[in-house]
Amino acid sequence: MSEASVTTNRLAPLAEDTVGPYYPYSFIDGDRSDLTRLHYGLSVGPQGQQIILRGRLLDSDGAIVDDALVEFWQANAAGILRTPDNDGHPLLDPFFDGFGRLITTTEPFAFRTIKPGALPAEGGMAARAPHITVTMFSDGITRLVTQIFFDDEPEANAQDPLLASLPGELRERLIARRIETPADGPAVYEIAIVMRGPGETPFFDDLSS
Amino acid sequence: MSLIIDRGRLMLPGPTDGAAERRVPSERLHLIPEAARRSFVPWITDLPGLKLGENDLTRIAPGRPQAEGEVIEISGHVLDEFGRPVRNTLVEIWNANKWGRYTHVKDPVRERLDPNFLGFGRTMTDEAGRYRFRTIMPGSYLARPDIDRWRPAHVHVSIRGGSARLIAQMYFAGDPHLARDPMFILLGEAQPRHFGNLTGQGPSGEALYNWDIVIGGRNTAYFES
Ligand SMILES: [Fe+2]
Repeated sequence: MSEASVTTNRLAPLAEDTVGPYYPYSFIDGDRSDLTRLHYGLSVGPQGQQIILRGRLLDSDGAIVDDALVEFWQANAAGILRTPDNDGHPLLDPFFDGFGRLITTTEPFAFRTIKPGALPAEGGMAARAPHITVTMFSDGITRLVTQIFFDDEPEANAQDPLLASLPGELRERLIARRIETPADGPAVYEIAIVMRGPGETPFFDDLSS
Repeated sequence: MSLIIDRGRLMLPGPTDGAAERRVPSERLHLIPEAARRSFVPWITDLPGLKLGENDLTRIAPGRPQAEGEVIEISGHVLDEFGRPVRNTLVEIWNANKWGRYTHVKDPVRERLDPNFLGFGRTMTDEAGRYRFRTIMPGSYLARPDIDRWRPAHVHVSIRGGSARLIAQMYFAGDPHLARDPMFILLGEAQPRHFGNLTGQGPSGEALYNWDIVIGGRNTAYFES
């Protein structure tokens, strides 16, 4: 049987398209730029170290890109992702689901969350250094995806298979730097995500890989 | 060092899209190593509660006056590549008013606003993956006055829920601006899938469009059993 005689009944997907400049702000209801906030009327919240990921999304002119829709996805402090295969996992945090989103302004964005734990090795998957997956939608692009790591995790970063797949100078561009902050506040990490041009951030192809 | 790097897609800026020239990465996307792939698929469980009538863009709220323009209905299924329904997932749409104006504060003021049209709405797919909206046939708008580039009539859609995530646009066959629209041209052979299919008229004479939204690739990697 030749390959050409094999038919498929798979449906052809739509093409991803730009979100354009006019994604309604009011669709960002409920504040998901702060995953540490206490739930209404409760004095308990997510486990873990509170952090702020402060980022600048930059274009090829070095200008901050505003009106971009940025989505975050991460494990909880114990390194557990809230995915269906982890349903009922004893280390799931009932106060943390790991999905955040915001729309950028002309200022750096601030995503307040808890520092993700390292993902344990399981089911043929390597252990992963603590990281936050960042997905960006804006006018001019369809969708960009990358992962951001932390500079105070050098041992875990050195073992991470995603970082290891990149040449050294690109690896550095995914590592957020902790900056000096008052000891009683959340730790602040800074990252520049460069969409195009000198210092361009490595983005990942999550459709074909 | 891995031998297989830099083999992902190369993203292409639209030929006349100013933002794209500054925002589309110049390098190819990087492949995700197998051992690192699991954590790339968000699982979105926290979706907003919806108010009655949020899928009817023709009125700002139930009982309010109807917006100006031609009422259309858009309905269909949200499916994965195997034809399985994507259930209980948020579908958001937004479109310009009859005159091609968005209510978004950043839309430069050229065309009229309609006090009875907000231009965005949302709904959840049902158990069969079905969705339904009523809206106003969007007008074309001048996206780049400097080069006289018009956008053909279109409705933006965003899908979010579970592992499903997609941003796409629906177009209307026969629109004279399609042939010069870089976003539409870049769709290439996928163009026909992005047309709403006119299937008839509803009881009040509204045009009925059927549009199935098929989400591909990794975006349906996790699927409810
Ligand atoms: Fe538009």
